[in-house]
Amino acid sequence: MQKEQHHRVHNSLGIISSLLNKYKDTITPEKLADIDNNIIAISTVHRQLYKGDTLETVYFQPIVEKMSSSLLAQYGLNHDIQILIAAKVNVPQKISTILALMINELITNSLKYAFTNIDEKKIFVTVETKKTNIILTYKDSGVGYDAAFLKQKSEGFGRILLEGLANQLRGKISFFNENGACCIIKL
Amino acid sequence: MKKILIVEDEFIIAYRIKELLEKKEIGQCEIRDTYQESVDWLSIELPDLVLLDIRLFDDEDAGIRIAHYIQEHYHIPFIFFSGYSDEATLKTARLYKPATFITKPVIEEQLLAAIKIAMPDYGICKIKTVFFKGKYFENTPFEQLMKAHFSEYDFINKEIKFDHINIIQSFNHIKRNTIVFKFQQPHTFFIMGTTIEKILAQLPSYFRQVHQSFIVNTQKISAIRKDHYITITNEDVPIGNAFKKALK
Repeated sequence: MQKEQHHRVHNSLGIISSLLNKYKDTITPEKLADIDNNIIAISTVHRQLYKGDTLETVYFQPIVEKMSSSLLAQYGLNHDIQILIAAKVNVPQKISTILALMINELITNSLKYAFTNIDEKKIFVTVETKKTNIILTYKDSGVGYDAAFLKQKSEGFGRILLEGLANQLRGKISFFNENGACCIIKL
Repeated sequence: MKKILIVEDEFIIAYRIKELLEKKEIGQCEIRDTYQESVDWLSIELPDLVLLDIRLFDDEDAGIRIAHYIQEHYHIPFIFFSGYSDEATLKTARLYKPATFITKPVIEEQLLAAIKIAMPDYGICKIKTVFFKGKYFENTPFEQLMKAHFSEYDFINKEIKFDHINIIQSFNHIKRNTIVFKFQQPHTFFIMGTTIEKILAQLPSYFRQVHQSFIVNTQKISAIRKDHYITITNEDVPIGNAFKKALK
């Protein structure tokens, strides 16, 4: 079990190292903040892992709460945007880090791009279990994904990252617009 | 452009390496993250180099088994990169003669240097000939070959460079499990106890089956005549009806 934990920490550091390398030649304060958020997401999962009673699963609600408040603080938008979280489920440890990174990416996307000229700014994050599946339903009340993103033609790393991570967990991911941006991930 | 297979289960890590190697124009990269997917890919596409993580998800020695597969079938250099560098892991890794072993997290400059040393400059990876079971005859007239008896248990012990192969023809209708390799130089044949399908599965993608009994090296085609024949160094190869569509 100790070897397992070492492996997990090692992998997490490997992820951070890869992200830093990815942007090392073109680093901006904004990119640095993004990487910092990834580190916070990973460390929030690790902290919750150590708190938990079991080694198999991890309770997800506090993880999403912590990530959300830290993202909101970072973007200085506390009073303006509401993030509504329903993630009162236990998630297998194996997928917890990657799931947290996906949620982090989705929230970051919304905070950066969704709420220009939008009055009611809301984000809904729902994680639920159905039989053996874990389903993440993500919505915001913003402007929706742009056409390039939906057609997989956007230049950014966001969609590639989300699809790559979903595939790593052998999950299905879909993006669409419905009074805002929506993303459903079925693991 | 060279081809590189990255076997790594952590997407962000794999993607970063792919991006690095493609940006530096070292090679076009494919990512696989299980033993089975890697082996499936390797049996169709032959890369110039493989980067191998050892543990894939819960499969503790997947990378070692992939190395074993590569070693049995091909001459392709591979590099292990792993978070585990304990004595036991290194000892096992050594047995498979990797080009080198890099510990994770990867220091990119180290990885680039290791790849540059490990990857062959040009030329094609070689199949290990032990894979082609059967007896081989060289510079023997065709009529004589057809009369020869050979046992399936003999195997050739000669390396064949893909680049040198022009045409591969099966003579199953005359003599069971007989395959002839035609090379650039005239009168050079190989004969083996195998089938054309088995051979095709081990060739790089520029080899295409064009007829029930023929595989050609598409890099050597000098002409295609009216959909019926492919000409490769003065030899005409018929195109089978079933293969016409795929060739277009």
